[in-house]
Amino acid sequence: MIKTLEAVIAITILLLFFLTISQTIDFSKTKTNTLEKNISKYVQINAEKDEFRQLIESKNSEEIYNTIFKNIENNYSVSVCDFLNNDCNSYNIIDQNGFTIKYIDYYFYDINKVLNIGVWIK
Amino acid sequence: MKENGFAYIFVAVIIIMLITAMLLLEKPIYIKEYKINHLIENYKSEITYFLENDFNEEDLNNFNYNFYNFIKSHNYKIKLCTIINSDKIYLSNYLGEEDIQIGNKNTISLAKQEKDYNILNKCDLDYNSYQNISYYIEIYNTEEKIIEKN
Repeated sequence: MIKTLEAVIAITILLLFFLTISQTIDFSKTKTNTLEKNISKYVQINAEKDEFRQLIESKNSEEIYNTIFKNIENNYSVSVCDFLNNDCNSYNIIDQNGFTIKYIDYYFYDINKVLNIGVWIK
Repeated sequence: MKENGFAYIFVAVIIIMLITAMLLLEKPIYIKEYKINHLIENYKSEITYFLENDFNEEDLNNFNYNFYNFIKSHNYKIKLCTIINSDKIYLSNYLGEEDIQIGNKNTISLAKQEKDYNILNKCDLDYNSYQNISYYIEIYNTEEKIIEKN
């Protein structure tokens, strides 16, 4: 009886330990890379569509933001810039304080513009 | 220990201590950033799109020139060479090596019957006339390097 109680206590201690570990270990770097990969794939798929390229050409960053809204769980911003130029049209840019921001740039050769998606991670 | 009835708890504590020690001693796992792969994928997607439209020597040169600068704007170095087998054979050299026949950051075209394997092999590619496009891309900095051949 005492042994059983002891075993229950030992298992409970181990379970609490593993629960604490799973909550505290930081997997953010791995998540970030997966996130970047997913966004990259998503942009590539859309880059094949003429409608999407037209949005880029017209620098309609708000519409681009809405188009990709369902595909990115994190908060993000969208900018469309002329190639190697700071002339950008941006949507949902926030103060970077306190956030790590990962940027994905995609160059559209025919319209000479760069789509910049900034995803911020707490 | 058994007499005290704490054997299981003692084992549990030992396990916790060992796992904690392992976590504390664990070296951070280096996971490559995806950015460099993304840049390669960007090139591959856009060159595919590029081939769907009519082009000439100058268009291909502008394409590669802009990509070359795009990659450099992300603080990477790039070596790039592209062979396109279309109405002519186009060869674009951005390998950073001066070449008497091609020149660096330059694109030339050869008539199909004039194909010169000495020139075509400069891309470090096995030229295959059945392939529409062959390319060699090397993107690197002091920490990362990626080479893609097609």
